[in-house]
Amino acid sequence: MNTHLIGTDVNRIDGPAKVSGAAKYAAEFFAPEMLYAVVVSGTIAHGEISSMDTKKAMEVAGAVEVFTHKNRPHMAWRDKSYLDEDAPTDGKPLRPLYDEKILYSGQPIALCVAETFEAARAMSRLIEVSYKSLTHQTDLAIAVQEAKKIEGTNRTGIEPPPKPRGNSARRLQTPRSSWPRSTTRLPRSTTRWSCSQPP
Amino acid sequence: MNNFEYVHADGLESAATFMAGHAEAKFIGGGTNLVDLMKYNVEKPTALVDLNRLSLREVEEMPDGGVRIGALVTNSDVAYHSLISARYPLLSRAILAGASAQLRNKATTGGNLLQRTRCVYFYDTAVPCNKREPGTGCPAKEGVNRSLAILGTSVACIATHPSDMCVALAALGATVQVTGSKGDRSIPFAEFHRLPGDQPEIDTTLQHGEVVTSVDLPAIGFAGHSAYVKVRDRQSYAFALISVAAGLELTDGLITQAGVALGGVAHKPWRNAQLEQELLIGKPANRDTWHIFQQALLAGAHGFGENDFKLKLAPVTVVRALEQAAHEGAQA
Repeated sequence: MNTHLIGTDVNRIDGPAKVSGAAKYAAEFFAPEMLYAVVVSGTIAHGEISSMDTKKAMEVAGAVEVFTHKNRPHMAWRDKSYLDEDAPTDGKPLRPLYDEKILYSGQPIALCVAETFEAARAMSRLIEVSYKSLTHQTDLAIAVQEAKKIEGTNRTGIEPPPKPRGNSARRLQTPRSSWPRSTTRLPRSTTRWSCSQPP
Repeated sequence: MNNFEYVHADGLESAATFMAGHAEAKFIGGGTNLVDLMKYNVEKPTALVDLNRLSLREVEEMPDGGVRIGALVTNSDVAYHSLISARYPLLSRAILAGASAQLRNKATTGGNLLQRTRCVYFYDTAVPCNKREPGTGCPAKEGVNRSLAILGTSVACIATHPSDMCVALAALGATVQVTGSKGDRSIPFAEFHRLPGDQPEIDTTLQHGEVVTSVDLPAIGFAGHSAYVKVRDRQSYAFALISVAAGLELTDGLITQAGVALGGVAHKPWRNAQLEQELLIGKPANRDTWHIFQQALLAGAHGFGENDFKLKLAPVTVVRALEQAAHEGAQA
C-alpha cells in the first residue's frame, strides 16, 4: 500500500480554480440552443386552480412556452413507469402539473420556458392564478383523528400482514400469574418471536 | 428580473438631479442586499444609480477628534483600518461578526445602513407583508418569527434590522452625513433608522434622492472598554438572534461614559441614552449596575411565540457584554 500521503499536506487540484472563481458550477455549462426553465409554485396549501392566465408571460421577449396542467405533454399513467433505482417502492410518484388539484404549499403549477434564464424568471412572475381554496391542517395530532383506512390495498408481490388473533388487552388486565403457561418447548431453530401469540 | 435603467453617478449633484426625476430609482453601492432583493422580485427599481465612481472612499481624522468614514468605504476596509481598529475596536468587531469575508469586501458603509430586514415574509412575494406591500398584513406575528423583534414592534410589523455594524454605530453615537437636492443634513444615528409604526415600508428617515456621504464617529471610541457579543444559531455567517454592543469609559471603577445598543431585537438598533445617563453614568462597573440597567432597558419587551426565548436571552447578553467590556476580556 502506498502511504506516502499520510501526514502530508496536499493541495487540492481544483483549489486555485475554486478560490479565484474560475471553477464552474454545473449551471454554468451551456449547450448550443439551450433553453431555460423556471418553476412557478402554488401559493395555497390545499384546493384547486380555478384559472390560470399565461398571456402576459408569453409576451416576454424570449418566451418559448408556459407548461401547465392544461397543456403538459402526455405523462405515463402507471406508477410503475416512474420506478428507477432510487425511487421508493411504495407510495405515489410526483406527477408535476398533473391536474388542477393543489395538495401542498409550494406545489409546482407551471413551468416557464425561455431563451434566457432572466426571461424565464420574468415570465414566472407574470402568471396570473386564481384558486379555489380548501381548509388545510398542518397539525399531525389533529389530522390523525381524521385518518381513514385505505381500502383495497391488494398490491401484487407484497405479502399482506397476518390477521389479528387473540385479545391482548383482556389478557393484560388479568394478573400475570394467571396467564396460561406454554407446555411446549420451542426448539431454538423455530421462530421464537411467535411466542407472543397465545400458546 | 424586471428591466431597469442603469446609470453611473459622476457627481453628487447630478445623482440628486437624476433621482428627482425618477421616483422609483435606487442608489446602488456594493449591491450585496439590493441585487438579492431584485432577484427575489422584492425590490423593483426602474433605475439604478451606481455611486461607485464617487470619491467617498476615505477614512480620515476630523478636527473635532472624531473619524469620518466615507460612504463607499467597504465594510472590510473599515474593520481593518488602523484608525478604526485602534480607536473604535467595537466597530471593527461588530463588522467582523457579520456576513462573510466576500460580502464584507463588497458591502459599503452607506449600504450597510440601508440594508433591509431578512424577515422571511418580506422575502416571499407569495405571502402578505406590510413592509413589502403596505396594507396586506403581517403573517409573521403568528408565524415564523424566531428571528424577529421583541421591542418597538407595531401591529403592522415585527421585523428586525439585520446589521451588526449599525449596532456598534448606535452604541458609539455616530452621525450620518447626507446630501440631496435640498442640501446637506447631519442625522444623529439614533434618528436615522425608525420604528415600524403604521408605515413599516419606510426603514429610515432618509428622503428619496438623499445620499449618505459619510458616517462620522465621535472622538470617544471606547477603545479601552468595549465588547460586541453576538448570539446566533451558528458561529459564522448567521444573523444575530441577540447582539449587544457595549462601550464604557471608566475612572476609578466608576462609569464616566457609556453606550449600549442591541441588535436582533427591533426595527432599529435599540439604545436608550437617557437610561444610560440615569443608571450607568457615575455608577460602579459591576453586575448589580448591569442588572438594574438591563431591566430598565428591556422593560416592555414581548415575544410572539417562536421568539419568546429572546426575552430571557436579551437580559443575560446585555449583562455579559457590559461585564466583558468592563473587563475588556476576550471576544465572544
